[in-house]
Amino acid sequence: MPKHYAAQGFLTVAINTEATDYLRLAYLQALNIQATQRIKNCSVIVDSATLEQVTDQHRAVFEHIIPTNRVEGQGPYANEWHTWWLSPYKETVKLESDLLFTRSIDHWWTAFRLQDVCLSHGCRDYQQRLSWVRKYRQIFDANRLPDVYNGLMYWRYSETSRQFFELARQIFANWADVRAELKNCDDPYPTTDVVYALVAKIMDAPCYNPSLDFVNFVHMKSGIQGWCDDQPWTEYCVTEQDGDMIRINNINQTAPVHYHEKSFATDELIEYYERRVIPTIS
Amino acid sequence: MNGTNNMPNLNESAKSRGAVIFATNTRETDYVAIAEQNARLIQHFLGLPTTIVGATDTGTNRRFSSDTGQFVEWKNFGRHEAYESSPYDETIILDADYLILDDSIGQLFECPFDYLLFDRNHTIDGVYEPSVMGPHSLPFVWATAVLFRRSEKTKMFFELVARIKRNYDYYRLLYNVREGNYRNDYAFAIAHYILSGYSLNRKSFAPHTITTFAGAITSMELRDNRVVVRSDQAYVLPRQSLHVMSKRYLTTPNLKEFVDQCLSTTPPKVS
Repeated sequence: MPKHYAAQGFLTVAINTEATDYLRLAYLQALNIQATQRIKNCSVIVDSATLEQVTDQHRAVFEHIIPTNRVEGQGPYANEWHTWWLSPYKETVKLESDLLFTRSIDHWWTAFRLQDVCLSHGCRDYQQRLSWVRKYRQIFDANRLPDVYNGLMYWRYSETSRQFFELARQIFANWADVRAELKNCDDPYPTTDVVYALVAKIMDAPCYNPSLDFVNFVHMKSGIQGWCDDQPWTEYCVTEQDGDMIRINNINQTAPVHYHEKSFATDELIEYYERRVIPTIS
Repeated sequence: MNGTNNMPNLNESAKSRGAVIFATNTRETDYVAIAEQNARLIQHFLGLPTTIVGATDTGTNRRFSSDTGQFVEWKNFGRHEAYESSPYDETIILDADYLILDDSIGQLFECPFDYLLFDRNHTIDGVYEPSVMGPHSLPFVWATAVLFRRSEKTKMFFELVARIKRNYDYYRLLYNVREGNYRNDYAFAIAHYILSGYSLNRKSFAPHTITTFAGAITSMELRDNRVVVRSDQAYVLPRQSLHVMSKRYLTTPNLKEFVDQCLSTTPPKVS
């Protein structure tokens, strides 16, 4: 049984790769949570290699830094299912590390509590419109999977949520067999979005809630904006910070921003949040 | 409710309402003459007076002529002066070449707004019109027709349009506007986005589109309450306000004949 240190909190996974310093992204996110949320608890799950890179600076903003070496299956997301067992919170909002808030989502917690597991549903473009782009979701459409995203999801410690992640574990572990049953699926490794969508489809209990049309985020993949993928969106757009707000192409991002392009997390942006947050952390 | 509450407030003066057309002649085009004909249409179909304004800040630019296929002189920078120039409490700003052929634009004053913009334009003859100001910019807004009421917000809006006009190079870069030429459309769009709290607020957009005929026109005729436009082929349109890009046609005596035809129709009942 997990040891719960607090009622509510945010959790992310940061396992560095050669290409990406996810710990850095998680640190930016933690600063962002401190700046924008009233429920500020946030923790990060790291592997042993990433743990060695954790500094006092990181410890100042993360409530818990949770090491794990448990990996079943293969691929970059192989231990995502394990987050349920590692979360220090009774109620967890799990985030991808490259997602930032621009205002408080405290009121979302009330909506999340309508069910034990709540994946975000659909996504928005930077103009805040719900996206109809299916370019990145063809496997979902081909297999009639729900249009869910694990970039922002909620679970409450319960039997239902345990079943959700246990089922996810089985799919991760048996991906070759599962993939053979899916249409248009060439993914050599399971992706969390597909696995959680499969679980949401299989589970009897509701795992997403389309009625909560605000439980989603701006997905900055270029195709969702109607742009080519040949360059990162940061090459196209003007971005600026205005207090908590992030403005992309001069449009206020009222929904959380899944910036996706890792170069968005510049030193300047981290320093911007550090200046705002560090003095407030006792 | 008693009878006293049903009585009109005699202390409240009636709001004045009218159209303002910005027109500055160029070497190629007599915009004032076009505006004068449009003023007759406005009086007939909307029952409103028109003030033709020669802006002080006209600027000089170039526009593409659908008649000649070449760029010609164009002096139309001064739209931001409308708030100060209009003698009316409620104003419809129009391009001289947006011919008013029905009363739909006047009915928009039934809506609550400080200012009202058109964000959609339908081109009859199939010429592509951009929906955004650039591939990575924001949606287009048309300054062809703008309605406004005098208010603090509207005053702020026009002051912001003027600021954008003065600093257009900066705003053009900031908003990823593709075209180098200054356009009132862009300045109005940018001002609207800023004033809407950096959001795409659709509340200030008109519920219908501007209809445009982009190509060269040889004649226009009113027949059975339909407008027959002859170009490389004939187009039969319902009688509705039409943005006519063919300045060559608009500066011929044929425009007056067409307007005379329109004035022979029964005007709509103006409330």
